[in-house]
Amino acid sequence: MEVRAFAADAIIIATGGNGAIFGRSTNSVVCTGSAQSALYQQGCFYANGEFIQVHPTCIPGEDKLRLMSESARGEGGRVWVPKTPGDKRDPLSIPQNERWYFLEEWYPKYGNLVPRDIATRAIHKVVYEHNLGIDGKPMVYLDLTHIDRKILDRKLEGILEIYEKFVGDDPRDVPMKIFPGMHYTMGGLWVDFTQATNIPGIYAAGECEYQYHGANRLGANSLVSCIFGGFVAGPAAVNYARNLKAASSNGYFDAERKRQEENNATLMKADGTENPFKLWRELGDLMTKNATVIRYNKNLQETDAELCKLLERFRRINLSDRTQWANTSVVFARQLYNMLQLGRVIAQGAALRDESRGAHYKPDFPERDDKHWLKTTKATFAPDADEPKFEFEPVDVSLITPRPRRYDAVK
Amino acid sequence: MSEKKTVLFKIKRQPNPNVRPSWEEFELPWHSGMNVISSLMEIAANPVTREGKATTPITYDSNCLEEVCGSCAMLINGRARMACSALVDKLEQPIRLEPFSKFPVVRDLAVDRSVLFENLKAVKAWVPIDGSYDLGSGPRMTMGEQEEAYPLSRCISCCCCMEACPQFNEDTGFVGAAAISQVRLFNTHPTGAALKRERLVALMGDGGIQECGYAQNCVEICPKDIPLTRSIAEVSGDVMKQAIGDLFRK
Repeated sequence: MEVRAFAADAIIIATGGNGAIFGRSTNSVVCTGSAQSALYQQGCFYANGEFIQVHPTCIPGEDKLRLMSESARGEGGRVWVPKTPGDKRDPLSIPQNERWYFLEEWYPKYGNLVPRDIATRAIHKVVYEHNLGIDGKPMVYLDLTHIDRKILDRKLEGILEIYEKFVGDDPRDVPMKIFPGMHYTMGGLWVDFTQATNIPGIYAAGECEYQYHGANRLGANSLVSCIFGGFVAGPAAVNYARNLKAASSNGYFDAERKRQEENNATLMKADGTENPFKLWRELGDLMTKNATVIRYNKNLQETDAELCKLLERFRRINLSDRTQWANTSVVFARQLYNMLQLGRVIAQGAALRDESRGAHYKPDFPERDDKHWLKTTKATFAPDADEPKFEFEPVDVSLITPRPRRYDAVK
Repeated sequence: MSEKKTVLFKIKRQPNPNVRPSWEEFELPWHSGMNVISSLMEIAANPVTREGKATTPITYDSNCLEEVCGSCAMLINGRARMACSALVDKLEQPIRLEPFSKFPVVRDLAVDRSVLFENLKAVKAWVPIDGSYDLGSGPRMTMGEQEEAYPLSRCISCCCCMEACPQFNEDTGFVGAAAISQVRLFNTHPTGAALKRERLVALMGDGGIQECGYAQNCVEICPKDIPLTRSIAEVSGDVMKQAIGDLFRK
């Protein structure tokens, strides 16, 4: 293992979302938000941290949540639960009049195609308030069995195969069991229209930046930030680098390499009792419980206090692996520290925003409050206090006047 | 029966490429929905062997856990497959985990698979566009062409087909089914076809497509059900035609 510095005039960060902060998510395991957090701790603004999206239809799993794509509902998939709590019958034997198609009933105009946050909260409500989760567990049916197999195979084969492979049941024959889970990070590194962060020479593109999806990303829209942001960031970074005046080395790269080597050595030497993978599970459970679908200020404040405790426990870490070759524990521990720091940005940002907007929902403040909160949250790291500081920037609405979002209007 | 159900793993450990591998056993409490990756995660959170000996978390590659990135391929009960889709309830115990045998071991279950990327470079597995000016929208592909190309595009570079192939070894230097199938994909692409001849030439001679012994292990083991033997047959015909054509053009 060796720390190396790669000197560059400009860099583009494209590190994706931060799903791992919530433990299990639909993201890949590398999507820890660690790079974004490291930059935030070095002076980049982190914007709209509180805006994360929970996807309504995930396949619960032990290692991760796997996405059941919107296209399942797009092609006619229907979400339902048995009307009787704890109904143990085979779902296909339950007659139509004993099934509750709650999305179709509550949102007649959009039915099963309501946006993600609406579907997510509806499923939560049905499971936790009406106690109608399948088998009493937090799950509802997503049913494709009424659609012809040939059509399913042609249009949805890829996503149905995911269910079949990872759960073991064929969704052409049996309704799928799904539940909402952490899916997308709308917030991220603050950037301007050229994808530049506030630190000159650092650009960001894709899910790791905050720019395009506001408080809620619409389905099938993530490529906007990925492709368009990438198209802008590339030439902008090249342009920046070309126009730089030659400068002599300031020793910064060596100093940073040394700092990182010391950091690694400290982690390797640490002889405490805390296992980084266990700490991560606690982080995930904490964040999923208090900072996803439904948010209360009291819980968010407690979450931040718990995050401080986890950061304290992180000092008493024990890597179980002190070898210098392909040591994945030390890499993970470094990421975990950054996840904990970014977790505080999410929890505190959510606590501050006293309204409900997009995917951010507070029952105590159920309405969108444009007068006070039509604003971008910007967090900066205060190194001395070791915590985030917040400021707010008005959103430019000169081209489109915001109007209320309504899905309950009748066709 | 009050006895708690457990799951038994035998895992081949090798701290680095310079030492001999050895086996360690792990016993985990059973619960529904377990797969090999979730089990490796549990071991990392409590790295203790079955005998109660403290050990290191197991090094393995993984990323998407949905059979899209191709990184968690390993030998599970002797079979090359993806760990993320290996459901514990469907595996015979003890579950044996080993790194691929035909690739250099980095550590434990992680191997160096750069040979595939070298082979993909050799056959120019890409669509050539120079990117210096706006080419407008690309040529249209018919529905039929799309449906033929799509299964080929599902290759995840896991290297299972190469691990399982009897011809893929140091003696033959065989390029392997994955790279050959990518040749078919890019040669049938309207823009990609510009490099068709170069790709076919790259598959001629030693280590080329002729090394295939028709064992058909590749198509049998491919986690993405790619029609690999069909690709080999079609590309083989194209290579032959190209070779004969080149002979007469000399």
